[in-house]
Amino acid sequence: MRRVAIVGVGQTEHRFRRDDVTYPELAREAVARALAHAGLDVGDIEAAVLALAPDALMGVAHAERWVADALGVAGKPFMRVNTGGSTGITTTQAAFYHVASGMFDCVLAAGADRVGESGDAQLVLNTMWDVLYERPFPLNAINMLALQAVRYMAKYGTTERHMALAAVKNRRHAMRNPHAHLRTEVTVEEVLASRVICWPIKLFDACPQSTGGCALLLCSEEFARRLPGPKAWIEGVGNCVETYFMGDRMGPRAEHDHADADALAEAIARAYRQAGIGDPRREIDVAELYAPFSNIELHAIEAARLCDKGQAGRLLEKGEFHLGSRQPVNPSGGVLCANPIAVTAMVRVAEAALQVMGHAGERQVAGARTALATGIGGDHQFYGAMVLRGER
Amino acid sequence: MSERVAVVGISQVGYASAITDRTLEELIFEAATGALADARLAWGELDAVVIGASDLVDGRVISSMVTAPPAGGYMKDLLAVASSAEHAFVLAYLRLAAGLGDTALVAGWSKCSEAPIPQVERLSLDPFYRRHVGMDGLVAAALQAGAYRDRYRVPDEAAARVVVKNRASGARNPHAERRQPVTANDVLASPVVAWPLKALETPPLSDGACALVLARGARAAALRRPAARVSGLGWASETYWREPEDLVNSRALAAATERAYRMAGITAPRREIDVAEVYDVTPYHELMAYEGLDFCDAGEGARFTGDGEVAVNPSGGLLCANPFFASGLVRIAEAALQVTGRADGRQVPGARRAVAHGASGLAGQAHTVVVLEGET
Repeated sequence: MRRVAIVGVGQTEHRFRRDDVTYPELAREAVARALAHAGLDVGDIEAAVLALAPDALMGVAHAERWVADALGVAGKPFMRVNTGGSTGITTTQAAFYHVASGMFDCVLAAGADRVGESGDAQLVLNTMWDVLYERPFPLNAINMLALQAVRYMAKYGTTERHMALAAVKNRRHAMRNPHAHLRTEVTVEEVLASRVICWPIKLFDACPQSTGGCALLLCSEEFARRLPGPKAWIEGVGNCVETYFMGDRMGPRAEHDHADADALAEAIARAYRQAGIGDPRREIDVAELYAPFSNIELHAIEAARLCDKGQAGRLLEKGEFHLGSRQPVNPSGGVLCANPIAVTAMVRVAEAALQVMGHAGERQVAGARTALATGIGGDHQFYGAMVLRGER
Repeated sequence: MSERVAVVGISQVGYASAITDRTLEELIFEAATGALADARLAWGELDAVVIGASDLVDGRVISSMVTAPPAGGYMKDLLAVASSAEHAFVLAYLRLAAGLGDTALVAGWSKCSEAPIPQVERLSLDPFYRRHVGMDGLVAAALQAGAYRDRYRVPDEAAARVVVKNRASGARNPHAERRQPVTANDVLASPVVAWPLKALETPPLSDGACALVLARGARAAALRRPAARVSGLGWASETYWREPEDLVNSRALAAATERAYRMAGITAPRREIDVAEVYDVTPYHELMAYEGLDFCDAGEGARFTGDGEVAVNPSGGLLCANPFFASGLVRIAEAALQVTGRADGRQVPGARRAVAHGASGLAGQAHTVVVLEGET
């Protein structure tokens, strides 16, 4: 297979609202930064893939058409991917296939979202579910993952304090990331005392609603070699899909347990296999794991096989997974500190790329060479993973 | 990109104005299992699934959640494309061409009887300038048809001839929704719905699903199924703000055609292509496609008959069945059936090479062109 590298990373600052730009202008801002980072011109882009999650959050149907001109793709190959929260990583994978196929040498993956303007995102996300059975419940993205937390706590003895530790760690990391939306530190006590949204998830266990954009430039080896900057080589790509009905992940007949993220583990295993990673605890230097609630980070760490099932909370307590520890998780602050839905999972890939390029600024993990990025979409249903390697 | 990628399994469910005895999920499951059976491939052997899903047409947020499992996605590597079903086909091709996996299933569908399509189209306009105009797909197509008709002085009879031809073809296609032939007089006498378009010059909105199985290299050969090799692919976006001066000649279609033909080594399309399945959302759009696909020069569409050279829309095209978001994928499926000699009553004798053309968005904001070649 043809080798593919990320050669340009662009991110806007993620904020609650951006009243100074339209959606196409916001996406263009990220694209311009990625082009500047790579030292490329918009004319170098041969094809593009747009990350845009639910149309209803944007308020414009098939807004890929609206943004096409801002990405400079008129007359060029262009498509859009939507797998909910994992859209950013599945879009990057689609761009990867464009280059790996041999048809293109330079492909853009980009997108933006304005969740801060979409009213209550949970009203929109309620319509993910079955009209007759689940929608009137009413399920939303928060209570669906609160169910996961309850099951996880019951199965492994994990506590609300363990969850809080993930939030505290990520908020501390975000202090070093100028792109992060939430940049104030919180203490374990403050997390535990914050308003309950859906037990055991409290306000500070939850991600914000963010507005922001992200763009990546993916190139063939031949093309990348002509560029002076560092590269993040895409070594492994994996994907896996769970059941639609959450009820199918519970009870004696279930093939998987809602406490765990077996399909995420499978997606990551597929990426590891492709990258030739046998012992992730030794071989992964840094991980950017998609986790919109603190409890999700715990089982995502386990699905990445960075520790045994049920152990992530206890290891956090011992200082593992913090910046400065052996294997930092979410040095950017993660989804808990910025969630522009359409590109949130692309930001994971972007941050992983910056780490292996050595361009992560104050949040740089010293000597990071191999990084894992993941995404989660739908009702904890669509999982994507990518392994990136630097050249250092 | 040395190894060939071929379509080895095809299934279509529908098309009809309203399928009320099965849910959308059941239609998709029927199409997906049908395509796997046609390819003689077990679900467990399938490496990847790529679906084309529109939240708004399906009436749910992240509608791929409910449609991915019946398309065979459970525990599979699945990508959901939201711009059109033909883009899902393109992405499945790219994945296999990259050497990742040996097989992939592509699925597309629409249940238009349960979807407010004109409203979806109106909502695709930006909220500041153009949404207030109230334009939908029909009006956009009519503006485009009117511009084309004016520029090249296309007589009404030329458009009517296309409808008559496609309706006669649709009568031979068991999947077509409209299976009654019409006369030129019927077309010309039907009421104007959006000038210059008359009722019989507009497509139905259909329910149905379409699935294809693609396989690569040795795996494709081992299946020993009639194979339609993908020899050329091109796809391109149009500008968002389609301006009046470029409504007629689509640079997206020109770019997609150029890329697909270059890849397939086609230099004289009119001679080298036997069958074309084009996006005839109106008869004027079929005439524009003749020009966009280089079967004739600009402005010559009304005089191009294809007789003895290129058979266009033997399936009856969109004018006979239009499962909206999947209509481009259906063109690819029909082209693949033709080049493998499996198109039954609508078979074009001796068809070896076919081109499929899909479009999406208002006035064709995106175009896709796929060249398929039969292999035995």
